[in-house]
Amino acid sequence: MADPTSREIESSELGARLQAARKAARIKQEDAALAINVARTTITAIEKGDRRVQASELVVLAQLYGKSLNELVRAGVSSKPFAVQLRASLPANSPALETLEAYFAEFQSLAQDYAQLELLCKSPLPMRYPAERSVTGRVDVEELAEDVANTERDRLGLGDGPIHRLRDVLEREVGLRIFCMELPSNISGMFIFDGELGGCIAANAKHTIERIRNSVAHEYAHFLTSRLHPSIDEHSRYQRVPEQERFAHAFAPAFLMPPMGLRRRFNQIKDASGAFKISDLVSLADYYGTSIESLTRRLESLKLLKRGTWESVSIKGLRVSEARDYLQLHAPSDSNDLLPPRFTVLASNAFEEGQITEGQFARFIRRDVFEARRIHQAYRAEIARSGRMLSDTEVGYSTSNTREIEG
Amino acid sequence: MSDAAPGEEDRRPLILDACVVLNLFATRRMDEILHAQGVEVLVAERVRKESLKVGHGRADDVSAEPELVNLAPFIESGILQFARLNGNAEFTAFVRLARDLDDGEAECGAIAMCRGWRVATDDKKARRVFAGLTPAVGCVRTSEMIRVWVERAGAAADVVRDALRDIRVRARFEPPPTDPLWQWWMKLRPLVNETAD
Repeated sequence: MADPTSREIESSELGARLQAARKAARIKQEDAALAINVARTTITAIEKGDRRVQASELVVLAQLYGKSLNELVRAGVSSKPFAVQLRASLPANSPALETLEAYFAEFQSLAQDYAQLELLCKSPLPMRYPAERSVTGRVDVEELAEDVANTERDRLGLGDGPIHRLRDVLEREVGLRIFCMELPSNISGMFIFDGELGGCIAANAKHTIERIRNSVAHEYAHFLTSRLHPSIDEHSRYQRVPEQERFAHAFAPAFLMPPMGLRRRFNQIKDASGAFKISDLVSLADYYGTSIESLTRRLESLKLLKRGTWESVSIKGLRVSEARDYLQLHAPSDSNDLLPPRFTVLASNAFEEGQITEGQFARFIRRDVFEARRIHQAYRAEIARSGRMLSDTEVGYSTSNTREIEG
Repeated sequence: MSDAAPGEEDRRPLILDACVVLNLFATRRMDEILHAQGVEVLVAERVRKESLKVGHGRADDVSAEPELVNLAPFIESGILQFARLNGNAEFTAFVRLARDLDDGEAECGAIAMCRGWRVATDDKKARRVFAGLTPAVGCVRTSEMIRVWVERAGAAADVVRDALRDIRVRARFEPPPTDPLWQWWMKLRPLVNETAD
């Protein structure tokens, strides 16, 4: 079988990759030039594709930039640099810019690797994108958010209950690529749309699962309303919150906690016990996979609880994790795994079929070879159990990696 | 695959890819196995620098951390040597192979191709790529190296069983049924249930 990724890439493409890798590593052209003993202008020419890089130079540059040579020279999926677009979404004087370069590069690398595996496995991600909705000039952005959330839930056939496995739903039903990266704590998520890769979201894996779900829904709002404008959601960034952000803030709870279902559930609880207690808040938040604060504020906005309830609950010193333990509640059915399960299944299929090597498999799934072998063993056990190769819609075997979560 | 005439021993040096290093290190008898090969055995720069790990292998200790593969003693004793890319042809071959393979595998292949050596690898894709090169690069599998050790060193049955168990448990590797020595391996491997750490 011909390998669709086995061709020589153009000098201009290689130059662009080298430039992106250099910038992600925060290395100046002068230093790169010094490393391969050429003039700075030669680095410029190489990065523009005007001068072909020698093999020995390429090896040195890959090492200097901390990039694998395979990633730099392999053919297949390419995309416009995420960094350029994401950087432009932040104010020019933002202190976050300095620290985020490497995250932009890894975000792009993850999305490209995912598309590369789809190419190898001939299994493209179905993209069922709705038409964009405009927020500009709307007086009541919150009302629009409710409307769009309702339309999207209908379109995706989600009914009015909680959304379990939000990442999976948005990946399979919409065609988004969603990763959970360990971002700086003040960043909740990033969104970008690329012509080749489609909509891509990175949520912060260091946050709680409930917060990650909120961030994913928030970034999804950006996809629905301002697809061509990349976003980085940084805490306390705005003095005056723009319409797009206000929309996204309102969309996330509306999407995760639809009013009809929530109202019904709330009334059922209240009717059954004659009251709505703090323990009910905790279990209802667990049911929807949201934080207690987010649920309380949502109930306030639906006028089911009076304004200021959250403040009074938090003043009483509610300890969320203790309350959850006491009520024996489990974490919502979502994960903070770096990779979507489908990504790992595609990588395992590609490795099993000899499309990629063991070293590439480990690199794709961001594990060392020893750990990659454990994951592949689990995959093989699943094949043995089912008696056939896994399709990329099957995600039953365990690839998860428990992460530390910030409170 | 061997270029040596039938019955004739292939004396060409052997360069190990990372996966074979992992398997051999897991046996705790890497020095004996390398010595038994009777040829120069080498690792490439990238493989040497890779931080490889194997399982501790103690089923009774669930807290045991994986063990880092330390090749320094083998290199110091001279049983394992270290190969570095040299010259334009090898760098060019490395870049060409890196289009299809991971860096460590590409480096092994480039060195082997340019110097007429063999590569020790079990990897399906790497073997296919090496076989398609001109000149083709000969490959040796973990199972072949183990068999050479068993036959030449006359290792006791329980020692061999332990080594195969350690490859299975500590390196999480077993040859696939397509491996020509699969039946031989399966006959020798211990039948008891082991628990991987």
